Amino acid sequence: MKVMNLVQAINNAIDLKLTDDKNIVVYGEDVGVEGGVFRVTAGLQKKHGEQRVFDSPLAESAIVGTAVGMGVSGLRPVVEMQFSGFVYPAMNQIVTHVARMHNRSRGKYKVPMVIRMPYGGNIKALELHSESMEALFGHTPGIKVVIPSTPYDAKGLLISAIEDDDPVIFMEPKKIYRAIKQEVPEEMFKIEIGKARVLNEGTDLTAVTYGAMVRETQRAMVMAKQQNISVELIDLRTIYPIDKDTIINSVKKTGRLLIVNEGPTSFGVGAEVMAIANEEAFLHLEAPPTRLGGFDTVPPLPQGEHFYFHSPERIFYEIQKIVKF
Amino acid sequence: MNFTKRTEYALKALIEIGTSEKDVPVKRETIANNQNISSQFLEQVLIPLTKSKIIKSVRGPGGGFILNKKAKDINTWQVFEAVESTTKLYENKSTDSDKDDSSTTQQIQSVWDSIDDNLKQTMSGISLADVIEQDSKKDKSEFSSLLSVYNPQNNGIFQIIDDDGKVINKEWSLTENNKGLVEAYKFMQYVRTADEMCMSYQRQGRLYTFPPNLGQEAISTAAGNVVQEDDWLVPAYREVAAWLLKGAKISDIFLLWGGNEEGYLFSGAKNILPVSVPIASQLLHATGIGFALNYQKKKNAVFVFVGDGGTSTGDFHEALNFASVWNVPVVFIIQNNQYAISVPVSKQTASKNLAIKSAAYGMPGIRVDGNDYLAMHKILTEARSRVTSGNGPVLIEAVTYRKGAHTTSDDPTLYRTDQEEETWAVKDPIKRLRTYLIRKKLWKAEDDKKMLEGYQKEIDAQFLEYEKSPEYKLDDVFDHMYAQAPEDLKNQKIEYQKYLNWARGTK
Ligand SMILES: Cc1ncc(C[n+]2csc(CCOP(=O)(O)OP(=O)(O)O)c2C)c(N)n1
Ligand SMILES: [Mg+2]
Repeated sequence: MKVMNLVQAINNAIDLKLTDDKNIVVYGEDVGVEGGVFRVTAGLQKKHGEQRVFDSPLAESAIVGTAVGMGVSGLRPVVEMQFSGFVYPAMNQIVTHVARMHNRSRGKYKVPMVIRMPYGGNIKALELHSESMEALFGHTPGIKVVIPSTPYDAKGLLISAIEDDDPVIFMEPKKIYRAIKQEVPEEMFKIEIGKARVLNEGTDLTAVTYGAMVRETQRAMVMAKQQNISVELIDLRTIYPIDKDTIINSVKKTGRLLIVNEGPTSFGVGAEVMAIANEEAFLHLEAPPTRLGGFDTVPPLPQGEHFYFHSPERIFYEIQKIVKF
Repeated sequence: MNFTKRTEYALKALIEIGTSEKDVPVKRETIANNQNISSQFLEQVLIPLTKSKIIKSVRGPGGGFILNKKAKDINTWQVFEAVESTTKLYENKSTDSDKDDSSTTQQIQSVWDSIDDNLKQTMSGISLADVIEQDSKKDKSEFSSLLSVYNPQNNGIFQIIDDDGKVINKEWSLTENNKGLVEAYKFMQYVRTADEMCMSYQRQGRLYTFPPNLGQEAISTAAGNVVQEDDWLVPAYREVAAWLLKGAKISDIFLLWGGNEEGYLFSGAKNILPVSVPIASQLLHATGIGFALNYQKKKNAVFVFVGDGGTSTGDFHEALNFASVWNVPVVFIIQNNQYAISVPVSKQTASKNLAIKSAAYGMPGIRVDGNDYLAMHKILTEARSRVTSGNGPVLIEAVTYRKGAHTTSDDPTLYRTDQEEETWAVKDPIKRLRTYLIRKKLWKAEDDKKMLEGYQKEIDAQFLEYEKSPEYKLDDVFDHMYAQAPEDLKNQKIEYQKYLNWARGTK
């Protein structure tokens, strides 16, 4: 065991897989010499060579498109989008090829690739550096979407993602890249994609969240506890395929549901989780399920971001409203 | 046979006559002046052209020459025939005594004849109208001579002064006068001072992420001085001098990097787009603006910026292709500062330079020393005049060096050496213009101190003023999303206000 933050855990996972599987190549903007703008791939080029870990020219569409070509010919590319807000030029490749190649070729071609990207906001960043567009990917049949919230999960999920024969979008909550440290085994281990985790058992309300919002929700739960509200906390960990069972079982138990996420509320992950609760646990509901997503606006620049990104207090406000219903 | 000057001058005279306004006779002197032909020589072509009824002369005041037929009905063969003494490629000039009519001679003569026939056919197919059209397309500006001298194929780079501020290229006329050069120097110093102060405000937590312009001031200062009020400026994010010269205020710059959307406005400036974060995407907007200018028959130019890294994107290539196909008045400026964050330009492209990429799109490209203000001003001035005369877009690679970090969150020591930074330090654009001015006695070294102190005071006062600007409001998050806000969005704002009221109550 070694104490790692998210950056180190992800680096460690890629390092182990590079050692383990010669078919893996790692590339993207600035990932080689510099080790990425967040240093997630630091040291990997030195250790595994420029053939396998390298800087690409600046073009997200080309990064993802070439990874499709590598994927169909037996490699397992792990590529980086420097920020999730810069994945947009690659959306064409992701939607029209990454997500479809397997089906289009009736399974003849697999595209086993991981597209990593730091996502999320509240970090006082420039425009397009604070985006949370997991719903766009979740809405694209043919890809899996994974979002860890701890170093341990990040490592285990990323190893699974790299070994997965289907393409995986791996979104890394950059707000907590270095904020959370925890003991992580140094050897290889996996966490199954598609399985949520109950972080805290509770009886009054189910809070479903993921990524950087897990920590904020945990803080809100401290406030809730002072009011004797017992919250069951679910970290989704995978956006697609979503773990319906864990959500349904919890909602059946608590009868109340709050979903907390950063992306725009409408047509978002919250809507999906609510739909699952309505479809499968309707008769157990004691209050209307509630979504606490972002406004249906773009994330404001730093001076306005405190309005947009949820504070623990804001989350607690929603919790007590639901319980009081 | 030999095309003599007569054919050339006859065609020049005909172009002059053929392009005059409808039915207005063109005077001898006008032709002579505009086409630079001596009046004596001119006479020698006007007479046969009149005789063969290609042109006719109109007498009296306001008289001169007009075409006798439509330009499309005059072909170049007729002109050739009219003014030259012979139209035969080769004539056997032998005398009777040594008359040679051997069969080989005849054989050879038939070769000459068939060439003559071909020539006649070709020239008969080229009308005066065709020649006039080609001539109007021909670019007679100095830009085209610069292009041929500094062809990117040969990796040429246009400079006027060297690293020591000495003029090394006297053959090109300057586009900026002494006063303009002094002003440009002062402005570059102002921008650098503002840059350095912004970096220190950032370190103090008073600004957020900031991309310095250090070392690239000559390019955007020149662009800002060349761009006209009704021209468009389409920014990337590292050309602050151009924004300010286009009319943006320093407070806009503070707002922008201070994390407030108001900074995107460049409030006082006309025809400038906001800063564009998604690399190279703005190039397409410039092409579209260029289309609109043509469509609206406006004689203005668009200046658009991109970095070396940006040239790898699809958007770059698509924008250049569209621009060239549509023949739009856009000046594409690549600031090749050698890096895209940590990635050197050598890993960005396998082309020998970036200007050469223009060739694939059928547009001219040229490399310029981006740290040479005189060369930058010259090239942008010529480029502007070229694009606004309907000659289509141009690509300019301004070769420079990003002296500072990519942004305040970058650490260049991870990917480049001190030694490299030192070799570029001698090419610093401000230093070079300064030595030029001092050498020409246009500036005194001792005047720097006072000037810089003045700028610091001024900028600091404006920054303090900026810090007093009104606090960001909840409305600012919502109110500009749509021209007409959907009900649901209004409700989201109201709901959030309820939360704020609750939060206030609980504290
Ligand atoms: C589409 C897109 N991808 C990635 C980024 C992140 N990014 C910001 S600046 C930059 C490098 C740009 O280099 P260059 O075009 O040379 O401009 P410079 O910063 O050197 O002026 C990158 C990769 C971005 N802003 N947009
Ligand atoms: Mg660059």
